[in-house]
Amino acid sequence: MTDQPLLSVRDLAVEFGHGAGVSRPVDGVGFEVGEREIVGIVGESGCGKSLTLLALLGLLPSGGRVVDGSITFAGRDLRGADPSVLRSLRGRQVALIPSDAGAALNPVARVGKQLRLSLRTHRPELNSQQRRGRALDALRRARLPRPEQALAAYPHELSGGMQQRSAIALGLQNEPMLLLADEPTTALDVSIQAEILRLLVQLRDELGTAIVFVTHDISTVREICDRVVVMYAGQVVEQGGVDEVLTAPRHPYTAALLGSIPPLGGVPPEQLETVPGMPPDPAAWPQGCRFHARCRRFAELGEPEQCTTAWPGSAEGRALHVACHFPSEADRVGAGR
Amino acid sequence: MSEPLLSIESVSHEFGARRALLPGRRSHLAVDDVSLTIAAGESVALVGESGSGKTTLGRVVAKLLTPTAGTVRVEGRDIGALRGRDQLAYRRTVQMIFQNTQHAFNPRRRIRDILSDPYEIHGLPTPGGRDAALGELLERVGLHPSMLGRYPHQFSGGQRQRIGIARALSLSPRLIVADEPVSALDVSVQAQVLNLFARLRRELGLSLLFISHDLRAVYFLCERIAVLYQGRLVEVAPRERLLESPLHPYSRRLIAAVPGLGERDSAATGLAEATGDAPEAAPDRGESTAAAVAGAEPSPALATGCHYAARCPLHVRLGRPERCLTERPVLRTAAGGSAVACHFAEAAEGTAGTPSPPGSHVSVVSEEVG
Repeated sequence: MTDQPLLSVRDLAVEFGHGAGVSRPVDGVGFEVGEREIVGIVGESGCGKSLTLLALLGLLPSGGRVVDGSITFAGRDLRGADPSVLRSLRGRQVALIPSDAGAALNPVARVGKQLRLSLRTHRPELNSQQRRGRALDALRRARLPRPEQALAAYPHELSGGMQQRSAIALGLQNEPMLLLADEPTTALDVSIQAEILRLLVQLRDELGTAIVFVTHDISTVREICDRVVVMYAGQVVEQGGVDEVLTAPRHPYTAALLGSIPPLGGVPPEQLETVPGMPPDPAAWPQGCRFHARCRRFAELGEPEQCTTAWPGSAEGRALHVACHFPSEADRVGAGR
Repeated sequence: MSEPLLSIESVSHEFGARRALLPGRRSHLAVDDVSLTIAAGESVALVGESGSGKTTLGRVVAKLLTPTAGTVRVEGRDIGALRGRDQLAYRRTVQMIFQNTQHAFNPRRRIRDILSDPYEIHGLPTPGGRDAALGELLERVGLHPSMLGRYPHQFSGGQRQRIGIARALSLSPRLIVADEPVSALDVSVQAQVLNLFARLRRELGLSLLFISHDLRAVYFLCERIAVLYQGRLVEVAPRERLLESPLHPYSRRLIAAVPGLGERDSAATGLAEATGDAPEAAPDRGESTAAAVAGAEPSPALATGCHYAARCPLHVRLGRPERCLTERPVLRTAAGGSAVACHFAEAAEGTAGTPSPPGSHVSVVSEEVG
């Protein structure tokens, strides 16, 4: 593909703190999102996946700052952009779907009012009747049953799944080009989760919205994503097409994440594969490959020195890529960059 | 088979039953006539969506709630009749583990004090000194004895859940009721805690009532799976049986909803399958909740007939038979050690799109090249 991707992130680094207390929870992250594409970002808590999303929106918590890299969205540089430019983009062209919709919605305003308020901000040209119609439309698109009633309901009157649908409607009604979904289903039941995942795919198909889907659950990535970016300790360790990465993972961390999913069917194994130990501390990332201390292959290969001294290298864009000195062989050749 | 360790006999629990006598108050039948047994050393899962009554049933078993009807027997004794010293002894037999590890501990007490409580309350001697016993307990769940002086907030979620397990183990119970013990954890940490449960079961011969909405976790850990829908058991079956040939339409829907099942060559295939299996599921589910918003929906548990009929794809396919709406299906024995509460479970077999065969990670060759 030669055309420009919708979103291109290169070498993104985020820092918190000052002087000796400085930490870099996001350190050299690069990926691309094409139009109509659903890209999953997976990793454990604290790997920097949510901060990456917030950095894209210019919404890092106080003290956080982007210190390196570039963010290009629809041909515009977002990193150096004026806050007013970012404000006009947020909600209008890039929308965020939160993980806990119940907490993200205003508890004392009816759903309809919240939808209309966002429309008034982003689409001042609409009159109140048009706003109402559009809000209703968004709820319908989010497959909320009885959308008229939902307009008049307070968030607490809705079930968790319906709250999440309302939050999705809120993100969608301005027809953004890109939806950023931060663990949109983790707070939900399995059956509701499946419905919300299905909804995201339907919306992409209907509206052509590209979606960045952040999750810790790699099995949901398999369901809906076209490509996947696996993050560990603030860096991308592997990325590529979902089928390639999830059926033949080349990085030991990706393999371990997949192995930790309990298999459904057959005789259950005595033990599930786990990643021993804990993720490292962002204030003191390990030297070399950040995963080496927990890496099975590092141990199997007799603790090669490379792993403890040199970062196996980063790549950007949409190429199939693995950041490991000793990656597993890919099934097919020619899939590299 | 010898006498089961735990036997739940026609247990119902209705919240607000007394207040419901007042005008304008309604009660909620959270558990509706449930019977289930667990043998010694057996691990049984209770699955269902939120609001299905699984936590309530777990609390009834742990005697944190007194059921409004029915009896729970542990080792043949009716636990409802236990008082005083006998009740204390019962609590040694059955222990509970909670989902939210942040709220399960007093944040102002050290782990040493938290773990000492069971010994104090039950007046148990600790040979070799309290700290030695507590340290051993921590080691058993994969933590270090030096952590005894820490406070709960100094641990990660996975570690706190291990402490919850240690606390439950301290009295050497025979049955542990675990209420969604891994659903708040990262997938990789989940695997560690599930492994811990599996190891403890092997080492200590524990029985487990494992409450979860995660079929994968349940399949890994439990030999039998009981599916609860709005307070009623709809199916109880050995795990392979439930997965490979689920009899109840609701079980089928649950299985179809598990992410990562089935082939995917286009992004939506796996989910499309789920849709095909339960075409009306989504709108109907929403409808009942939306109606609840409007305050019009009667509690489905109070409906005559099958309480799943309104959402049931099988009911629709069979031309909405009258029987589903008038006669409540009882949990009856079916083939392969299953029990199912559906009038037409057998009619579904063969015709229904059975979920894709086990083996979760289907290899799909992709044309896409970066």
